[in-house]
Amino acid sequence: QPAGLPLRSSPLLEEKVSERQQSEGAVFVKGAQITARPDMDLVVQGQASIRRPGLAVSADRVDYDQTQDVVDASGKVRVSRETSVFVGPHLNLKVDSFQGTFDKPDFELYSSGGYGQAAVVEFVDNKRTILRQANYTTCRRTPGPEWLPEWLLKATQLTIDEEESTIDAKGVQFRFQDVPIFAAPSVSLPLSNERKSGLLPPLLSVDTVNGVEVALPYYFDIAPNRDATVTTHVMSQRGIAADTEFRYLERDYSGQVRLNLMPADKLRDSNRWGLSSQHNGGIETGLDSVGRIGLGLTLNRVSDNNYWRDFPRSGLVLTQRVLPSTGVLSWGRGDFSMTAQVQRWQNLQEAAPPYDRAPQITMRYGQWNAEGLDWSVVGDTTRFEADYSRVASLVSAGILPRNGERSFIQAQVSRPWIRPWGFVTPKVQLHATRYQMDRALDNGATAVNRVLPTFSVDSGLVFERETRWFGRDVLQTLEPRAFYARTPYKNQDMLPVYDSGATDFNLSTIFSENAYVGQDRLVDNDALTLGLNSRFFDAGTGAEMLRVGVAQRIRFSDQQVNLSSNQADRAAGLSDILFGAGIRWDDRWSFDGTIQAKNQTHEISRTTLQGRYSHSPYRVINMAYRANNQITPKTEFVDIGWQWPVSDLLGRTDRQAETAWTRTSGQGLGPDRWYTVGRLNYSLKERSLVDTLVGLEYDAGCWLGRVAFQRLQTNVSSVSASSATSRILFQLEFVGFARVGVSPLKSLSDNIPRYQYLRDSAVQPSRFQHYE
Amino acid sequence: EKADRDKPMLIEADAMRHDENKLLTHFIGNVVAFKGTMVLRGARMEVQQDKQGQQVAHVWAAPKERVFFRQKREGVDEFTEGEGETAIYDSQADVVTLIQRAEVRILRGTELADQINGEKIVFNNTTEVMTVDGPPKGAKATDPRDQRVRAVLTPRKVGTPSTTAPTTAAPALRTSPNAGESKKP
Amino acid sequence: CGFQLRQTNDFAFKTLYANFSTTSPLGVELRRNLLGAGRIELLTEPKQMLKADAILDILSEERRQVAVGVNAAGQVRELQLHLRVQFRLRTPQGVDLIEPVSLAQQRDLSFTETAALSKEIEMGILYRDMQTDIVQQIMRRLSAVKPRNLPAPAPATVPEVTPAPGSAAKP
Repeated sequence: QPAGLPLRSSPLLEEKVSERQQSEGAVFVKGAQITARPDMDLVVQGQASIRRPGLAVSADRVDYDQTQDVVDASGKVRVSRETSVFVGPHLNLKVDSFQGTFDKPDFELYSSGGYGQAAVVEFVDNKRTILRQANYTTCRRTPGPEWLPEWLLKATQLTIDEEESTIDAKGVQFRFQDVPIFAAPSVSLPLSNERKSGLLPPLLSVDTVNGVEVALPYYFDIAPNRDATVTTHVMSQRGIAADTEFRYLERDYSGQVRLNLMPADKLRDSNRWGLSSQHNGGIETGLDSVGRIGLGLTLNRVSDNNYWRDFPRSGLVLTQRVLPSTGVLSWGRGDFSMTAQVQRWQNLQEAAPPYDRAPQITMRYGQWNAEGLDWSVVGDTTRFEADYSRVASLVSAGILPRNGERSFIQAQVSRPWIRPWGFVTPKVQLHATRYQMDRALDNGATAVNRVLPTFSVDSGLVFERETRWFGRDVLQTLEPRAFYARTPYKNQDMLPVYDSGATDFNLSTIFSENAYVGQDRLVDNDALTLGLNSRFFDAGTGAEMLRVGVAQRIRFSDQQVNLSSNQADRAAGLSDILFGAGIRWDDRWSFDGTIQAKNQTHEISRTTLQGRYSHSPYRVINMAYRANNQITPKTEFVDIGWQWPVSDLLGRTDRQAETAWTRTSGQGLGPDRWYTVGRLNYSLKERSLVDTLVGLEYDAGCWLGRVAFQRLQTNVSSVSASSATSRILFQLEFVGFARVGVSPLKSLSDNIPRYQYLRDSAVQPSRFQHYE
Repeated sequence: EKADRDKPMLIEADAMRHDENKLLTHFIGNVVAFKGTMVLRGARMEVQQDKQGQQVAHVWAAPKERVFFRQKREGVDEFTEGEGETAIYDSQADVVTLIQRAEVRILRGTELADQINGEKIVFNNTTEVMTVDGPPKGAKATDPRDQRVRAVLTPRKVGTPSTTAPTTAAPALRTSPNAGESKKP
Repeated sequence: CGFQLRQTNDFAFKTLYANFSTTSPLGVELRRNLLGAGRIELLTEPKQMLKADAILDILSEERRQVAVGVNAAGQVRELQLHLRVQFRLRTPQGVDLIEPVSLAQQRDLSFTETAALSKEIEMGILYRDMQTDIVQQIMRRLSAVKPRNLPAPAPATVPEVTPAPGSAAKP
């Protein structure tokens, strides 16, 4: 026998009205005058209102027949529910099953923010409603008689389905600024921000290469964990291309496939296609001795060498001129791990491609803190192959790739003493490498062995003090560090160079035993690297605010091992000096920089400086300067990216309106605002703007307009000295018409760090916002 | 129910005064009138009879109290209860009128089903029609909050009999009408 | 100038439940540093979660690469590597000792397509260096948690009406 009604206090209002509440809840009736026959019928006159959990009907006169549960209301009838409100002259409604008709209502749907009028409304049930001869918009009414909604959708029939949360419109005519710009037999609009199949904002652009191009993206919500976006590009000068992106997330694997198909491209009179996909997951072998094997697959293939020039930045991969396709199997058990991988490159550049690794098998077995020792053994065997036959410059120079197998075993043991105030870590390494070449090396041998030991000691101290900087309690650390490495010399000039390369000389790579990464060149070292690092932490939260570092390497003997035999030996003595700094004073300002100066000639060989200022949403400026004189040809880039409201620039910022509007995040800074966005990437060495994108975005409240000028320096092509594709992009995005949150201008969000879409996500209103 | 129409009316009171030629009877002091299943209680009652013997009873409650009216409904195990500062019962038309702070409650067994509040409630027992009016325009209403008439109707539970199922034989909260009676004047 | 050797950074909690995968590279290094300090007992069994003084959640770890310098021939010359780790420290009762905070690191890397293999190894070194930096910052923030805002683990049944009796375990 229940002890009594278990009541539980809840701090939240009940957002969902339960089925039981709706059917068994009491009916509250109010009115100037009621004539009732209990349990039979009820006539309420004068400001009549009937309320039930989840439904409120008010009118001048209401006849409520309790036996049939039918309400017949007339005179300024207002039916208000959790998700919508209908106002009109006359209503006949069967309350329980919510079937009925409503004449000439004005309606408003809270979840999509849209409203409009209709000739007649037919309530099918409490989830589905059909409106005939309806018009619909999300533009807020502004005072003034001649007001017209900026965009209006006229439909012969609007079916609102709250189950599927979609609005299906039939016989659609779409008017923008009172000009019909679009008509369709049927269109589906999203009711809320749930993922729904439907049209995304189209993109119109005028282009020197593609001519007039219209991109129409359509989003397929296949399943909660699978979706696809198919964008059809119609280009006047080239033809039609279909760019499909399919994403899947299963229990044991997930991935992304992007396929771009363009049959009969008039630009090159050939079929063009581009595949770019990633997949990673695991295979359950079921054998408990084996367990789960990890699988990683990436595929990047394109149809021809000019693909990157004609479809700039379309793949998922970073590098457009060399496309890697990799298959990796990985397995681990306790301290042992093993990977087997095959990697092939598609080379689209006139220079030598990287070597393919077909296959590479790596095994690693190691423990840390086993009786104070950290040790590990790494074994690897790889088949390196490359094909230089398609690179004209190499064929003419008669350079052939050095295909061959390389296997090495690297064993290392270190004894770390780690204390809070410092550490000392002596380490001994042994490298044993064997090369088996297809073609004889310069010294005539086809097989070479190399065994080299390395001894290194890494040590450092940590000093701390509490200070105050600009009125903030700061904990400053001073971390001196010394790293000595000793490796004997062994002539390696005749060895091929597969994965060895000079690293950027920075604070991370300077404290390492080998000046080159990879296994092909083990530098003869007798060098001491000294560094001094100082960090500033906020005493309260421990957040790192400032980091300054300087480091230099002192070589006691000349370095004779180089990447290529014709490179000059590194002389003994002081190496380049390295400075590094990173400031993140508060979340508005941030600055990072590293400078590497040549010791003898005091000229700077590598500089990266970047800064960001962003003091509120929709306001960000990024600036960066990157120079690298170590490679030929030298590169020097200046990069600026920004998003800023124009009203700030004209000095007409309205702070209160903005703070009121930005209380809901991701909705822009308020209606009727212009934003300037852009990204410039200027290459000083080539004296040309490599990547230009300058645009304006207009937020009118219920629609967004975008216009942008984009110029991509594609190449020093065989025909003209330097060719560039420039284009102008237009875009209209109607809020409530297409699903929000998908960036129409992908290049904006990719290139401008901290760029924010003006409609990031539609906010789901609570039913108490419109409670009546 | 309808059978009450031709039932005799018994009236108890502390004191009674009868005026034969005006056929007017006064009852003063916790007056209780029974007529079949109908009960009327108030502080003071006047019964005016006409030639054919039909009676019209006016009942007033003590200050800050309310007249209590109760009657079984036709053919259903339910009761109608009403309260108001003054009540008029016309036995010939079988109409009860409750005036000022009027309230009518319909009880299904022991459960309160419907409740209607208003300024004036006219309850016609033969047609079972109840009209509820708010205060006449402009008159100062006793209830400052809202001039309008209010009604709370609970939908009839389909299928389950209105008497509570055996499992919850003794529901924790039980409002029994007779418990309230003793408190009423 | 006021510098002295850093003392042992003691923590406001004795036992810590590791609510993150201890096999991922970040997890291994974080575990190594937590145990290295020698003053914390690390729990990994789910059922011990409620007994721990505090729970460390690694909410997200995101690695991203962006080509920030592309030359006229469409060849990538400058890459930027990003590592963002979001973590939170809370008591089993759900009180946030450290609000969810995300630590971000970025490194610049010059790039040439021909040297893609060696640049791939260098990326690995830079990611490990960023990861070490972030683990150091997490350790610092853990040691910055003051004991007083760590409520004494109230005995489960007796509601804390009267001030905690002397016997309650005060760190």
